[in-house]
Amino acid sequence: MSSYKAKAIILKTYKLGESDKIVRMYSAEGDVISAVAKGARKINSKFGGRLELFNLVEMEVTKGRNLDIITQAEILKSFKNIASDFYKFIFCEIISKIVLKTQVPGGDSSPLLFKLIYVCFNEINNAAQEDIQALEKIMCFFEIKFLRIIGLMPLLKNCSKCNKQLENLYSFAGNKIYFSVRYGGVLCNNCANSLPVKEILNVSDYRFLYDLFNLKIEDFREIEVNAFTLKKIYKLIEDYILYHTECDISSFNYLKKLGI
Amino acid sequence: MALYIKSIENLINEFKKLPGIGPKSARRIAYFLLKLPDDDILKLSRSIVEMKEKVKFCSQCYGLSEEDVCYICRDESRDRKKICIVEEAGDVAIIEKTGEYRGLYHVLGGLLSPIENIGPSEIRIPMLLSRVKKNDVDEIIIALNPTVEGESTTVYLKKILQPLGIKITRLASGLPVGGNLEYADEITIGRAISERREI
Repeated sequence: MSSYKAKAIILKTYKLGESDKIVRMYSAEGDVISAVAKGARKINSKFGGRLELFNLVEMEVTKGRNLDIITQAEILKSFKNIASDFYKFIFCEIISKIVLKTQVPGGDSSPLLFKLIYVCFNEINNAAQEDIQALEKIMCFFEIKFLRIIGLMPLLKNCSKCNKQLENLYSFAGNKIYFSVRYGGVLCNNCANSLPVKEILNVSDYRFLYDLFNLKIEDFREIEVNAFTLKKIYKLIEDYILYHTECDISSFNYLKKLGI
Repeated sequence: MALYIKSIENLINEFKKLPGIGPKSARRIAYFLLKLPDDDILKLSRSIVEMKEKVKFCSQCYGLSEEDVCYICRDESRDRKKICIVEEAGDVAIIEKTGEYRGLYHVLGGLLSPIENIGPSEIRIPMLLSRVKKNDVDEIIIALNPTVEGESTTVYLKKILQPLGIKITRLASGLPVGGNLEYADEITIGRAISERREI
């Protein structure tokens, strides 16, 4: 039976039978891998804690009839702080949910998405304890870059309805910039007037959204954003993802459910 | 033409619903049962029906019981000031088998999972809170699996129980008895070192 080596980040695990585990991962080659780790739930399993959520592992995998079988695994990077902070765990789970709901095994490969997941898990791991704002900022970064990778990036320079080139909104003098989740981007005044449902952004909301698209993580880390803008843009991106990918993240509802 | 006689096929279909039982095992079990004496078959079917009719969740700890309150919660000799939180009802028997613990239990029935939208109310955390507030509890022992999901649920429980001023502990983790250091992963060894104790 043929085997292959893979470097992958573990996104979800399921119990299988008496002591096995199904592991769903995103590989460095940019594919979703689902494989079985036999006996992985036993206390004295050879895998130990290697096949735990969010670990970056290097594995030897044997091709199986239905699911592949993991025969060896080594940890390359373990994001230890995620499990010890409930908020970090929630946001990493949301990243996993978005990736697994939108990417299918054998679909288009995207090594860039692997890098994005790694960078965001690393940022979340290194964020201060229970700093929800910092985590929401990282989530905005992940979601926007994710939309860019899968080709669903919102239009920020042209009207998303009529495609008219808009004036430079980054240095816009007025205080109302219209955005449509349905049409996928900003709107000119004419189109905005004809639509009953649209979001109204101010210049700092727009600038934050624009920076999310254009900055690398090192530069993005340095930008300051006020809590109101962050919440508003975060909610807007979640609505955008729900509308265009049908992936219901609802992290706001979940956080409310926790009552903390 | 049907492959099996209708009644055998029905039974095979029922067995296939059980965890870990595929079509082949289901067929093997069905043919094995055909060979059993009538008494044994009656005993088996009665046991299944009886179990389903009698077993319910204990109204206090949500463990399995044939009465409204399970034998552990009824036992006056147990330390009622200690509650051990476990994930599944089956975990109670595992801890009981050690003979090291004489307190009460609380079965959550799952772990928190944002990905599956499982929040505190889906896993009996409100019941735990009201139980702790109503009774004189001085220690909560969290005995959840040492997985990322288990750890995160532990962190959440600690967060909501800490304001009540109760001692909160969790099961120690590290190297398994009889294990070999060479085969342990870095997370387990790391934890064994950080949680080492004086001898």
